[in-house]
Amino acid sequence: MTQAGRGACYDGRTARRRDVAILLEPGGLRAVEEGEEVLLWPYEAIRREETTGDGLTIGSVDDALARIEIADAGLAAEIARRCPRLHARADADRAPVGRILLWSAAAAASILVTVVYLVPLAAGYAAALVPPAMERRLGDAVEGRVRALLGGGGTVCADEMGLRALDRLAEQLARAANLPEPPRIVVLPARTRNAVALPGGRIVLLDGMLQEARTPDEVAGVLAHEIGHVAHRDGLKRMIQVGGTGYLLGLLFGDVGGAGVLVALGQTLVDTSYSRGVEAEADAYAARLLAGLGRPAIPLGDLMARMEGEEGGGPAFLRTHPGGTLRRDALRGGPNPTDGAPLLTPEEWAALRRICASTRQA
Amino acid sequence: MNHMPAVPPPIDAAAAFRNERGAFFRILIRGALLQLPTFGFYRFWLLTEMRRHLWSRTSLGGVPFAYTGQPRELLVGFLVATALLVPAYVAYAIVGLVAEAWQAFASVPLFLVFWFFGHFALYRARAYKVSRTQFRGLRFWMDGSGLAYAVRAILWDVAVVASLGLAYPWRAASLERYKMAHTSFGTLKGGFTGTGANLFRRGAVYWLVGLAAVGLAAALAFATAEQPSAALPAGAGVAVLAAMVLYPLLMGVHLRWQVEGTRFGALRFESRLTAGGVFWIYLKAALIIQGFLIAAGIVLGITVAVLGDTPKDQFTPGLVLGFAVIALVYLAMLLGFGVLKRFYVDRGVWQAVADTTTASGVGVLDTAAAAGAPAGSVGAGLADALDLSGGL
Ligand SMILES: [Zn+2]
Repeated sequence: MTQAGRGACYDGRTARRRDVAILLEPGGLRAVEEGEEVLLWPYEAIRREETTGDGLTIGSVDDALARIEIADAGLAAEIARRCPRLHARADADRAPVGRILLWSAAAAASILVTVVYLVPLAAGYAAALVPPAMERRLGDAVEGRVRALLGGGGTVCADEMGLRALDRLAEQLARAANLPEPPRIVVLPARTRNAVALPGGRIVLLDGMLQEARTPDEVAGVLAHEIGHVAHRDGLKRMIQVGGTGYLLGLLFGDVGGAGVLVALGQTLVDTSYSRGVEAEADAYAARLLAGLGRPAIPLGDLMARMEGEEGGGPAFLRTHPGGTLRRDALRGGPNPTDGAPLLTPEEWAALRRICASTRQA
Repeated sequence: MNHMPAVPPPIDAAAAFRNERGAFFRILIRGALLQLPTFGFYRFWLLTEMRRHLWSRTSLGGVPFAYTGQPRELLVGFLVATALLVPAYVAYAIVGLVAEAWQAFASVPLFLVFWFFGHFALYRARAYKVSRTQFRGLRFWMDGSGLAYAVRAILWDVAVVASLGLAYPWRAASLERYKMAHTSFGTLKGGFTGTGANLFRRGAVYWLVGLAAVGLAAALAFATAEQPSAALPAGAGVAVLAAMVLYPLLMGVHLRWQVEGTRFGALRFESRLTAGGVFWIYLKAALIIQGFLIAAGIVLGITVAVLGDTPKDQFTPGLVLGFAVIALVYLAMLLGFGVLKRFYVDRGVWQAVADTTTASGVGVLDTAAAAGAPAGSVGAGLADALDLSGGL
């Protein structure tokens, strides 16, 4: 038994400071107060603790709380000589940067894969679980937002002749589409050239699009495309997808200031790539629907290509309908019959184009 | 015969903070640089390293504190909390949208749910942190109910809003009382004796100055009402300036009141912290951060100006270099603000509190025995997931 020196001990059982004799024995470090053993620590269990003082503070891996402070430099050096893993805690506490980088990259990659592949898939399944009544309510809520965004004072186009023409066009399309519920089409007096399919089977056509169209077949194509979105429940799927994507991307950069921009950017990129496939499917649906009525889908492509040419980017409001020329080329590959009866008479077509001559509150 | 008095006579002890600026700054810089390549996940390691540093350099009566928390606990807590929040978010989204369709305020209860979660998370995050604080061979720990605390906090929030902020001191006293009554050092129970009235008296001067500033702002807005373009900026300027000046002053008052009300049995604390002292910490930090942002802005401006003269239709080495400089300066601005704020404000206030605190009745600590267990980290993770983990 060798008495090596003295130390201040907090034994982990009470907060009382115990002035102990430190004995460095073959079996370990023994702390003794007035002949009573306070602690016995094997040398390989002893760890240095981070502390403020100049002395050495040690603890044990077997005891999270007990500490011995040693002020005597000679004793501290002797302890350091005997404890092979004295600095192991400091090493363990140092952040494993390489592993953190690796796992963070893996986590980010898996989140991105989830967002790009799994979320759209899951949105499809989740959409199937949403009852139609709730989907209609969602659509009503979104329609309020769309109206607010477009201005127009909450009015819808309501010229009587125009409405009759719209009804006739919608009725032919709905019959061909044979959906459980016919889509409800409404025209808003906004000059933006666009059309939107909302959850719950509501289609919003903007006057700007009507004015841009040159033939009834072009408008029919736009509506058939939107009916495709309704049939595929794309509006609902997209809402679910955007929500899920936002949540998952929000996991990254929990609190790096300004990183919200990166998250938003990622969201936009994912959205766009997702919409491309969805738009192509809606176009294919429109082509089949129009073919059933004996009408061509090429006018829809012509309209899109024309708008892309005029704007250099196509209509980008609310929905992403990218690549008008590409879409026209794809639609050219379809059946495109012309043997069916015209969907509207010239008089009806003229009336439809003037549907916003009078409006009423929605 | 051994006649020990039940409570030992008071012995004075001073708290102290051993300032190692370089070591702390290195922790922050490393943390900032690793935040981006780890997509923010390094924050758990950064927070733990900061706490480990600050705790271990703070002492009472010459005995240092220690922080025993592990970053992995925080990471796991965050992941669990994230998973728990998914159903809550889904419900929130669905009910929110459906409620909007009825044009009703049915989304309010859900807002309440998240508000409630927030208070609950903050309480549990405190329990996590407190129970990883080691001192003289024992740990601090907390019991009490995060749910009960959240209810209490929400009711007080309502009272504060309803009273236009006047109830704030009583809210602070009530919540601090709850937290400290459920905080223990081993077997030694904590408590809080500060009162709302006392905090109100101490802060009343600044509150009146704040009222005067609001009055001045309103008066300015009226005086310049002929030029509405000038009225709003003038009024808003006064209000913002007043808030910037008053916030640190009130924080100083609040911290001192908090220290002086804290009890562990017969152990009590005195504080010499002044509102002015905290104000200078903030002023210094604001000036340094401002200087840093201006310097970064100048570098950015010069780079953009130089780039403006080079043709953009081809990739010249100068163009690439210019964009690299812009990206670097942008990153430095993004990360530098956080580093400087933590270095000058968080560490500065911490040091100011420690160095102005003295204790009496330290002898009672000898009577404390080991008790309590470490709290789970899900609450801390929840606070992080809800973006509530602002400070230390
Ligand atoms: Zn579409």
